[in-house]
Amino acid sequence: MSIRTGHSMTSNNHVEPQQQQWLNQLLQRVASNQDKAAFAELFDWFAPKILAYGQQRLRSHGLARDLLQETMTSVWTKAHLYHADKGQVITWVFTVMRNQCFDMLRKVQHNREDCLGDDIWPLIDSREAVSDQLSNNEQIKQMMKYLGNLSSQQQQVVQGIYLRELTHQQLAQELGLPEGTVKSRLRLALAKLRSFMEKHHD
Amino acid sequence: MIKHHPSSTLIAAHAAGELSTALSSAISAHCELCDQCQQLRRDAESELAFAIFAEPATPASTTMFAELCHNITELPTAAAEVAQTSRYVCINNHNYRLPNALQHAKLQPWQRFGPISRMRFELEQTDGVRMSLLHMAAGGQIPHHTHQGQEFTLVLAGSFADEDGHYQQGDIILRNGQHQHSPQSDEGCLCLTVVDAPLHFTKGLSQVLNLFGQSLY
Ligand SMILES: [Zn+2]
Repeated sequence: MSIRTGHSMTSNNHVEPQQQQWLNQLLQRVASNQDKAAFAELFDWFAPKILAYGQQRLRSHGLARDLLQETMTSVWTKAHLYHADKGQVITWVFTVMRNQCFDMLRKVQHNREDCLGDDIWPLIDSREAVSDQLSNNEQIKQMMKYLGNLSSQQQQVVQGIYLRELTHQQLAQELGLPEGTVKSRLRLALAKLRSFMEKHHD
Repeated sequence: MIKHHPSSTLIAAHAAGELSTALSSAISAHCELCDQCQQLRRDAESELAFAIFAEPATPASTTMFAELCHNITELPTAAAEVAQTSRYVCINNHNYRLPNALQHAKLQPWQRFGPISRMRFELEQTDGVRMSLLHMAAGGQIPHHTHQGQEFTLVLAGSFADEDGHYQQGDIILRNGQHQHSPQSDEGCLCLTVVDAPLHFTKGLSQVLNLFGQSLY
């Protein structure tokens, strides 16, 4: 492996080292301070490229936009899972995007609702992460107790997905909303539930 | 020591997300056990990332994007904890942890065929591709057969041997129509198999198995 083929250097696929470092710093700022300005810069840099990739793989403007939304949402919420020593920011964003796109393709082509992308290509090294599934279920039960504290709109989505076990798509149809709205409403509702729980635990 | 690896072409296609769910899962499960292929996959991902993201950027900051970007940053980051799951299958009083790739894929119940047990995954139909867990009890053997399509076998635990060699945990083997083999396992083994066509039995009475051979893998 000591012989360098220079393969990736001779092609046009070049991102300047300074640029890589800049992207790296932006993502670190997102991970450690939830820095919105840094995220906006990342967003502007990645968005057109993600759209182009989505357009090519999914062959639809709407789906490409969904891919952009889902990918950048993961970049925002999972930035803390990125480790600079494991690779470049662009490689990490690529894996996030590819996993998301894989599940979207399965859904579009085969009507599959389950998400397997993050199982097939885990974003974290399984040898590092240990988490107890049981305590996770326990947390969900407790969350349900705090359900009444949410707005009626938020209760609606949590109940639809977790109690009636509807898919995002079914619930979106029932409520006459875009699926993306249902998803973001659900995320906000779960985050709010979590903050209630944390208050009651402290 | 793993001796049988997927081809680098297959790893590159896997990294690009271009393989079927079944084959992606099998390659992923191999990479989980094989540092060498895991590194190859990382290299392929890095190359793809550079190819995709090195395109000159056309500015995207329209109002729609600004709003989308803003909405995302309203989301709390703490909400995205990644739960690591451990899913086991039990056969002959032995629990096996399934690879990461198979933590949530839907499984049917075990079906027994003598010393062989099979658990089939419920996946989307892509050109007749099937994925199963196959357990051979110690001393078990599968009668002589050939494959009408391709068959990938990944050893998850234990070992087995056929006319061509001996295979241990992590080994992934590709068989096609030209191959005739009758795998057997002295110590027992659990394998993940991906086939894209049913297998075909070739010898004596075992040809009768063709009648229900469709159902083995
Ligand atoms: Zn390997």
